[in-house]
Amino acid sequence: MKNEQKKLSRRGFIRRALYNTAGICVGSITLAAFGKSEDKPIPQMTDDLSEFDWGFIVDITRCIGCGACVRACKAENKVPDSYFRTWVERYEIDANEDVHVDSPNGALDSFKENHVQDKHIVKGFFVPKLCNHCRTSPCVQVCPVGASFVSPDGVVLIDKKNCIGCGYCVQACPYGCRYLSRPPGTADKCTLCYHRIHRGQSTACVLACPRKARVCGNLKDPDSEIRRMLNERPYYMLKPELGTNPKCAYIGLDKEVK
Amino acid sequence: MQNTAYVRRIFIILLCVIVSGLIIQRLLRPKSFGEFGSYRGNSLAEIASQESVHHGKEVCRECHDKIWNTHEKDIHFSVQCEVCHGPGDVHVKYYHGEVKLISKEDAQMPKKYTLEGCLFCHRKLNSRPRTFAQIDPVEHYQFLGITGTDVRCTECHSPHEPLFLLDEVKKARIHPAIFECENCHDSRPEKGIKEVAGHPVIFTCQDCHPAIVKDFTKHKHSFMRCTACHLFYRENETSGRIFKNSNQRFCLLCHEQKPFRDPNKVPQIDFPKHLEDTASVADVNAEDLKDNKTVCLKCHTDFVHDSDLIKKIRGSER
Repeated sequence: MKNEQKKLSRRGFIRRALYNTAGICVGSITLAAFGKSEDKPIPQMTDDLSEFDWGFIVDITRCIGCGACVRACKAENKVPDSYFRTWVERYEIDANEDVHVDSPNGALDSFKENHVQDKHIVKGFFVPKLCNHCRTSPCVQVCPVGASFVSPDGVVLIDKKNCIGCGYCVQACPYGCRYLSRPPGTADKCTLCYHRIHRGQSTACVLACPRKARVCGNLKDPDSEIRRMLNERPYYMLKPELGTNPKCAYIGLDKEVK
Repeated sequence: MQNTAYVRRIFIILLCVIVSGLIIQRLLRPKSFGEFGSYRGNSLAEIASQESVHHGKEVCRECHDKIWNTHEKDIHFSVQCEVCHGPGDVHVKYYHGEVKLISKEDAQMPKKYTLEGCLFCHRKLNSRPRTFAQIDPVEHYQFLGITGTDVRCTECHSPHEPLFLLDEVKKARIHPAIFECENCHDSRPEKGIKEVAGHPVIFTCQDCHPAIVKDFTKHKHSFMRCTACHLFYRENETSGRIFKNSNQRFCLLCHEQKPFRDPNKVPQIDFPKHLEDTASVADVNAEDLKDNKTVCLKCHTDFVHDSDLIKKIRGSER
């Protein structure tokens, strides 16, 4: 009898070993899933985000195309060469109503000479471009992993830890405001200097603009400069027909600007 | 009994699938997911924790208050220090004691002058708003009799106060918009408005200031436009501010003796030696110079127009 109890068949031994291994695995996975919290302390947002709705104004009538905004943005956000979170386009319209558009190196070094030399230019202006922080962003809609999102205070941002670099959002943006940054191989874009605006500073491009052609502010604050300007000045948005509800207002926008 | 065992087995399998699904979801989904929406809530704070690189000119004031005050009085006051000098990032952190592992040399701000630095804003371009001050370097040098093309802007225009006339702008009254030939024409036409038959009549300076314009045409600067000295700062489509400028530093922008200037083209004076030489006849003292008073026009009223003309006219009207 004693001998029978002690005896363990080979089949029985393997079965028990498998059960035990499975049990240990399930137990440790459950512990990992429900047990401990994240290791690193995460900085918390101190502002009440529901009090903010960030918007942007570009006053084309004031822009002189100096490119200070482009240089400031590059330095502030360490944007890699040949990529731009903001850039300045130059429009030259000749007497035949032909439109000539250029933006050499995003106007990083301003404009060295007139683009069209041999035609009579009747109208010219500069159009600074940046992410429109649309209320219904196509780039957010196409993201398969929830890495692109609109923050509660109305800024379109990218969670770079979760971005898989598929590039769908780059193709989806109708304004061409996104790029794939390599390294680290994730999508990147204008964050409206999210780190600055929540410290009470203006964005780097607004700070750098010598002509006050750019204004960034809280649309929910009735006393803000941006609210006052939107109430007083006629403005228009880029490609409103696409239904993206962009939040970047352009004062003095010409019909030729796409 | 057979049926019950079958159903039980299905429920056990379903339960296992649900439990393992929950465990896998819990494992793969970030902790803060769903805090604000269908994304990782902590990413907001992570993005907001990026360090600022630009500090703004108020931070520069803490140490460089003298230069800061000079710059603040200039019409370029809206140009941030960091626009020309580059971001203050490491420099500010070093002197605030926030970083210590770099040398003092590495914390220096670049001060290098480049012609492009000025021309980023002031190069003459078709697309630039015509009311904004812009120059063609070749034309500008020719007008001022400057020989050589490598002369720096800062030889005449002090880098921190290139036009130093903000006080005058602030004191100036609103003036109706001034339109120049180039507002409609590509370049300055050879013929004047009155020489062209059928040209639309427009307001010129002499329509409102006939006595001064008439007097001005008798003097040496008559080849120049009124707005060469009385700069016009346009504030909107219909109005702006015109400076009643007679600051001696403004005269010296063109007339100060410099080795690169052609003396045959522009008369030059050695300043402030000129004042010492003429001390016996000119009633100018050091206090006048400090206050940037009208020093040149004390003697040289005959070079421009009679500065007292307005007073005389107004006096006679009364």
